[in-house]
Amino acid sequence: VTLRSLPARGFAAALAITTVAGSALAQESSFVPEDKCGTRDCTCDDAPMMERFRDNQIKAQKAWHSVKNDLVAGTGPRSLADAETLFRNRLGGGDSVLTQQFKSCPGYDAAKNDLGKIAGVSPAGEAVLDPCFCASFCKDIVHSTVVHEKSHRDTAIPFVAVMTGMQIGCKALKGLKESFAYQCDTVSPVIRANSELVAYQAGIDSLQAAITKLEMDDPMNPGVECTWKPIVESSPTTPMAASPAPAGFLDRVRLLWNRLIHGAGS
Amino acid sequence: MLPLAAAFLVATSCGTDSAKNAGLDAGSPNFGAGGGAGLDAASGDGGNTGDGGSTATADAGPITPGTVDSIWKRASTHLTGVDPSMPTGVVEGTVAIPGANDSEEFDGSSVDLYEQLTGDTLVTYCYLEGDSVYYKVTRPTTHVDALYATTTGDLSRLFEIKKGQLTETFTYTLGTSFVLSETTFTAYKGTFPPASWPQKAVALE
Repeated sequence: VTLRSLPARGFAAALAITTVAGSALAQESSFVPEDKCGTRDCTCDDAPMMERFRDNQIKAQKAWHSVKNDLVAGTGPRSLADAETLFRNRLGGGDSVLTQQFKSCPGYDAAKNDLGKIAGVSPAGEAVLDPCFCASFCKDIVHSTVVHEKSHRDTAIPFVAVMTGMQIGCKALKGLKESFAYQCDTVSPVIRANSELVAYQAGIDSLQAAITKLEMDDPMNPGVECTWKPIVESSPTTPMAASPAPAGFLDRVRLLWNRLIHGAGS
Repeated sequence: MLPLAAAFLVATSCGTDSAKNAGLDAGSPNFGAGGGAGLDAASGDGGNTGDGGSTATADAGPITPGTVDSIWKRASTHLTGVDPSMPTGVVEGTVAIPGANDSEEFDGSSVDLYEQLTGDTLVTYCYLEGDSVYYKVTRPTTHVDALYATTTGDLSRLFEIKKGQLTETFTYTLGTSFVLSETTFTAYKGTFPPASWPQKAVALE
């Protein structure tokens, strides 16, 4: 597949691990489609990382949810840039374990590989990924990122269609622009917030399904459940109830003997 | 017109009249004193109803009638803004929709869109300038007779076809005020996809 340079596509870079690149996707000609990603299959050993990645996505989705709540309440960000900044502030710090995993890819270069710009959509409509991301995470994680990217476009296009008149009206109709400035300013942030929420959910669902499948069947040991969590949970010990003393003398001696030999539980 | 939308329009009309009768229009930059300035339509080709109202219109050109499953192009949108906290209450105007529009969501790329109601689905066709494909996004709809409903995010969109003319209505509510959007479509009669589009489609569902 020959990839042309990727045009900046706004939300295309919005999948975040540590920080979300809300700004446009860089012109990354080195990005590759999923089938050229060369990612290895996930195994039981990857399950904790998969859960961690999923939890990070849930956290990011919650951050976008709070941005959307502000928008609906009438107190939201007034531009796309402000929406992205607010989201990053709400998301807070990233997961250092995920960051380290990303940096473990062969040939990692901080100048080229940015965890905030790991994926995008090519002019051919394909989701494309940073090869470093492909190399450092297993297939189900990478695939959930592809699902996220595709979902963005799927959500944004109908939204852009329906808001066309509103956006043109806000530019062309002076009265609307002045009296309904908040509604006009927040059209793009609203589209972005909705798109992000759906995209994160799609990615989370994809990864959760993969984790559940892994739990049911270890790929390295077909037919065996994959376990990476403690099997036995410690339960509080209950005090032993004292059994009534036997009535006969010999029985009492036997009980005493057993306790000496086997302990008080006998 | 839908019952809900009809009721809403009645309410807004009343609001406009009230504003006019109370003489509140003179103090608003949006309402022409003594009937007239209305909204400034940047397109410059709009008129306005005057009469203390605030309507600006833009010529969307002739509307080509079609059937419900025609491929439709947005032609014009009538917007009615209502802010209960404003003395003047209502602002409205109509804008023509150009063939393609720059979209901030796609980093300023020009976006060309068509829509089609087929059976129980709404199909949105989208071409982003510079791409080698176009997108076909499908969404479920529910419909009764000539009335179709679908949702996009939190927006409930209602489509209605009357006498060969398709309209879409939705209300955009944020905070305490809202904007009612009513879009009129014109039927596309050429071969699809248009000659300026790539032939390859990417389906998204």
